[in-house]
Amino acid sequence: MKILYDLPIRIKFAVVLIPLIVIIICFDYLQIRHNYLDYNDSERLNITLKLGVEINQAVHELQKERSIAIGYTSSEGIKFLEELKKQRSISDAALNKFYTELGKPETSEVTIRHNDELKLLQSKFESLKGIRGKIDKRSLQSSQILNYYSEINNIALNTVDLLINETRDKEIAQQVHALIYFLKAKEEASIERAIGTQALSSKEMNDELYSAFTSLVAKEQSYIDAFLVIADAESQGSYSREISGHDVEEVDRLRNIIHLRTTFDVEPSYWYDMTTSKINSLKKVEDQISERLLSRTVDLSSSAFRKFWSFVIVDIVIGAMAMWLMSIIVSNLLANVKTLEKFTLRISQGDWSSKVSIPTKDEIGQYAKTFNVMVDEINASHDILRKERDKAKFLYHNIYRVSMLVFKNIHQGIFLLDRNFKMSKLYSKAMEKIFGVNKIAGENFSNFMRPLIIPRDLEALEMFMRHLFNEDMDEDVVNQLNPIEQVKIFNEINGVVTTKYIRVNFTRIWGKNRIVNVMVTVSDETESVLLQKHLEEAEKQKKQETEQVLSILKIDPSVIRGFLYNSKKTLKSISERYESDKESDLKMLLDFTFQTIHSLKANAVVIGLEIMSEKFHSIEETIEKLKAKEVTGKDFLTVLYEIDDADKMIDDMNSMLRKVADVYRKYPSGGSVASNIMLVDSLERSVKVLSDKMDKPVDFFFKNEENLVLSGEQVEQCKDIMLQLIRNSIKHGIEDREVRLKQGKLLRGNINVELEHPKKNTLQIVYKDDGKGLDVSEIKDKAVKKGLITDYEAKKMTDKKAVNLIFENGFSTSDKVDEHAGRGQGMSLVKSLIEELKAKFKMDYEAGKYFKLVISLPFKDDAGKIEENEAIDS
Amino acid sequence: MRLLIVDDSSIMRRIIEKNLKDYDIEIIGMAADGDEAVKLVKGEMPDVITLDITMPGMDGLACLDQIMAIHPAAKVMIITALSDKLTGLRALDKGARGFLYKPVNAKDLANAFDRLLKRNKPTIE
Amino acid sequence: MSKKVLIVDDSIYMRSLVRSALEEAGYEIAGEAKDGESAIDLAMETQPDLITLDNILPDMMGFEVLKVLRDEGLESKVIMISAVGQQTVINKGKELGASDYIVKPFTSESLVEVVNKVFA
Repeated sequence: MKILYDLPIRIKFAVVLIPLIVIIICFDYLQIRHNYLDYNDSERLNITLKLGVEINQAVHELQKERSIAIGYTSSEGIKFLEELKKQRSISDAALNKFYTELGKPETSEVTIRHNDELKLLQSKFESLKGIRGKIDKRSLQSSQILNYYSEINNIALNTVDLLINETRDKEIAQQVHALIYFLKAKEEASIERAIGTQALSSKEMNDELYSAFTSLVAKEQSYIDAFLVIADAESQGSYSREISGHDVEEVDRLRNIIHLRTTFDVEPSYWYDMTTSKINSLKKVEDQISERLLSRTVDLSSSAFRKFWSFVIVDIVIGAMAMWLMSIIVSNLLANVKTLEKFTLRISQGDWSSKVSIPTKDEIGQYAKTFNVMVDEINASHDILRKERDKAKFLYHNIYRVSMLVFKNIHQGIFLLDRNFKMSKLYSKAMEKIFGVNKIAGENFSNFMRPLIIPRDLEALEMFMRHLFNEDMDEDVVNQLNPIEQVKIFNEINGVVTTKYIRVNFTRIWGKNRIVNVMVTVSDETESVLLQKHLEEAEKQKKQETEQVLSILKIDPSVIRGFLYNSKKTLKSISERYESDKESDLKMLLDFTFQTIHSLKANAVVIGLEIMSEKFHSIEETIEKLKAKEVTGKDFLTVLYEIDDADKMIDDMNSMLRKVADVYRKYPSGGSVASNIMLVDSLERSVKVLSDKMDKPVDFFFKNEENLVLSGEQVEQCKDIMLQLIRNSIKHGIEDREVRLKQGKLLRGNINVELEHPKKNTLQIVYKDDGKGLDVSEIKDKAVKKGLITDYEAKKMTDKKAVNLIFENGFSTSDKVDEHAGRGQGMSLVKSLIEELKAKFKMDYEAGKYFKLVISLPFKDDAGKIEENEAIDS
Repeated sequence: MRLLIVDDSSIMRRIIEKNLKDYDIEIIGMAADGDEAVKLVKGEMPDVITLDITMPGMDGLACLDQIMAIHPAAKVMIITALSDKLTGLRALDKGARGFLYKPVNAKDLANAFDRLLKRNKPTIE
Repeated sequence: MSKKVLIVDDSIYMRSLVRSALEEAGYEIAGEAKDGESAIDLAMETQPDLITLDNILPDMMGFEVLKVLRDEGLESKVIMISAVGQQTVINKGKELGASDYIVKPFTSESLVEVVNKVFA
C-alpha cells in the first residue's frame, strides 16, 4: 500500500488508467470478435445451408429413384423402367449440382472442416453406380435396394445435420433442427412410399415388412411432431398449407389400407403418385424452410457484418475521443502538477521571485492562486525580516566591531566565566599580555590560575567561584572574600620567572533568574605596586639622608669633624683590641667596649648629633644584653657588627660633611646660610629644652620671608642674644599654665623671631613673646635688692627708666646658675652684644601681654640674599 | 528579628546595639565562646547570628557547623578581624550568609544587615 | 404374471409399434387409447401396471392426463413419450410421478429397455 501511496502522480494515473484501458480494449476485442464470429458464423451457415440444400435435393431425387427402383424390382422389371431411367438422370443432375456447389471456392472452408463426412458422402454417392447396375441385373431384392438407398440417404441427411448444425444463433439453430426433423420425416415418408409401392406391387406384405412400415410411419409422425413443436410459425404455416388436400388425404387412406393388411387392391402407381405428390409437397415445404433459412442467414450475416463494422467504427470513434479527452485532461493535470512541482522546488531552493501560473479553474488552479497569495505574504514578511536582519547585522557588526576594538585595546583583561568555570572564547587582548600565554579560551579558570598562585589561594579561588555562581549568596558578600582581589602571580615566561601584581574583579551576569556568567576583569598593577614600594623606600632613604644632613648642618663643622675623627679612632681601637686580645677575657673586653661606646655616646649627646647618639645607644643595649649572660666569641661578633655599622655611618657623615664643605667652598657667603639655618635650629632646640625643663609648653616661630641672611659674625652674636632672650622669656616672661589659664591666654606660650628689611642697609630682628611683659615694681625691687638703686631712687624712678634696669650689669633674674639659663649675665650681656654688633635696639612691652625687642643691624643689601634651595641641593 | 551576637569582645555588642537602633532587631543574647553560643541557639533559636571566627575554645567554623546542624534556617553573619579569605569562604560553605571585616563602622554594618535580610533600605520610623 | 400395459398415443402406427414391441417382450397389452379422455377411462377401468403416455394428444396434454390419473388415485407406472425438444414437459411429468420417459422416434429395442428398467 505504501508503495502505491508513494508513487508520483503520473504513475498513479498510469496505475489507474492502464488497467481500465486494457479492460476496455479486451471488452472491445471480445465484442468485435463476437460480431465477427456472428458474421463468420452466418456466412458459413449460409454456405453450409446452400450445400445442405443441394444435398437435400440430391436426397430428394434419390428417394424418388429408390421408390422407382423398388417398384421396378418388385414388378420384376415390368413396371417403372422408363421412370427409372428418367429419374436416374434427374438424380445425377442433382448430384452434379451438389458437386458444383462443393467445388465453389467459398465452400472450401466447409469442405476442409467437414472433410471426413463429405468424403464418406461422396464415396456413398459413388457407390450408387454399383447399386444401379445390380438393380438393372435385378440381382437385388427390394429390401436390399431400400437399405442401400436408405443408407446413402441417411448418411447424406446426417451430413446435412452436421453441416448446418453449427450455429451460435439459437433461433436459427432451432429452425435448423426443425428442418433436420423435417428432412428425417420426409426420408421416412419416402421410405414409406417405397415400402408401400413394394407391398402394393407384390400384393402381399409379410410381418417384417409390416412392422417396418408401421414403425416407419410412427417414426415419420414423430419427426413431424418434433418438427411442429420446434418449427417457427412460418414453417408451421408452410406445412399446414402445403400438406393438405386430396393427395395428402389419399395417402392417409391408402396408408390405413396398407396398415390393415387386408386388401392390396390399390394400384401401386396410384400410391406412388399420391405419396410422391405428398413428398413433393413436403419438398416444397422443405424448400420454403431452406429458402427462409438461407435468406435469414444472409440477413444475419449482413446484419452481423453491419454490426461488426458499425461497432468497430463507433468503438474507434468513442475510444479515440475518450483517449483524446483523457490525454488532454491527464496531460493538463500532469502539466499543472509539474508546474506546481517546479514552483515548489524553486521555492524550496529559496527562489521566491516568481509566481506560479496555472490558468485552470480546478482545485490545482485554486491551489496555485493560494500558493501565490502565500508566496506574496511570505515575500512580504521575508522582506521585513530581511530588513530587520540587515539592521540587526549592521548593529551587530558595529557593536561587535566596537567591542572587538575595546577588547583589543583595553588595558584590562576581560573575559567571561561560565558555570563550569570555563573561560570564554572572547577575551580582551590584554589577557595574553598580562598572563604571557595565549591558551586562554575555554580553559578552566582554576587550572589556568594553578601555576600562578599559591595553593591556599587557589583553594580559596575555587571555593569563591562556587559561591559566585550560587544565586542564594549575595554578590557583595561573596566579593568581599575575593582571594585574588590583589594577588602576586609568579609567571614564567621563556624560563624567566617574573612576579606580577594583578587585581581581579568579578561581576555576576544574570540571565532570567539565574547567573549565566561571571565577568572577570584583570588589571596589571605591578607597576603601580612596585612604584609605591619604590617610593616608600626612597622616602625612607631620603628621610634618613635628610636627617643626617640636618644633624650635620646643625653643628659646627669643626666640632663635628673633630668628633667624627675621634669616634672613628676610638672604634678602630676597639676592633684592634679585639683582634689582639682574642685570648683575653671577653668579659673584660665587653666592659671596655661598653665604657668606650658610652663615652662616645656622651660626646654625641654633647654636640647634639642625635643620629650617632642613638646608634651608640643601640650598641650599648646590645652589650647590656650580652652582659647578662655568658659571653662567647660569637656573641661578640654581633657587637662588632654594630660597631662596624656605626663606623660606616661615621664614614657617611664624613662624606656628607665634605659635600657640605664643598658647598661652602663654592659659595663662600653660603657659610652664613648654613649658620643661619643652624641658628634657627639651635634656637628652636633651646626653646624645646627650656620649655620641657620649666614645664611650660612654648612654641617657637621663625619668620624670614625675604630670605635675609646674617653674616658669619652676626650669627654668633645674634645666637647668643636670642638664647639669652629665650631664657628670659621662658623663665620670667611666659607664665605658668595656671596663670595663663586664669588670664584667658592660650595654654601654650609662643616666641616669635622675625627678620625684616624695613629700609636700605638695615636688617631688623624682631623678638617677641606673649608673656607677662615687664613688671616694673618687681624690677625695682630686684634692683634695690641687688644694690643697683636705693629704695628712694626706686620710688622716684619712672617706669621707662626702671625697665632699662634690666640691662644693668649685675641684674639677673635668676637666683642660681643652671645648665640652661645662662650664667647670670642676663640682659646686660644682650645689651653689650648688641653694641658689639654696632646695632641699635628698642624695647617694648605691655604688662600681662607681651615683651618685644627690635634689633636693627647694619646690612649689606643683595650680597646676603641667595637662593637657599640651591645652596643645599648642590 | 531576633539576634544573637557571638563575640568575645563586649565592644562588639555595643557597636551593634548602637547601629541597629533603626532596625526591628531584638538582641536575645550574647555569647563569648562557641559552647555558650550553641547553647543559646538551642534555647532561643535566633533568626540572625553574628559570629566571630577567632574565639577562645571552640573556633568559629566549628561553632558554625553546630549552629547550622541545630538551626539551618538561621542567617549567620561572620564578623571577623581575620583577613584570611579562605576561612571566610569556608564559612560560606558551611552556611554563613553574610560577611564583615572588623573593625566595623556603622555604614558597613547597616549595609551588611540590609544584604543579609534582603532589604535595600533600613526601615526608619 | 405378466405386466399389463396401457398404450396412449394418437397415432395408430405408434400404438401398433409399441404394442408389437411390448408383446414381443412378453408384456400384456391392457388396451390402447388415442386421446386423453379415453385414456383416463381405460386406465381407471383396466388398472394397468404401466401406461406409455404420449405427451401430445388431440384433446389434452399427456401430463394433464397423468395429473387426472394421479388425482384419481391411480398408481400405475408411467412412461412419458415425447417428441424431441419437449424437455420441460417431461420434467412436469416426472414431477407428477412419471417413472421414465422416451423420446420419439425410438426403436423397439430402446422402448423395451426403458420398460424393463421401470419394472426392474
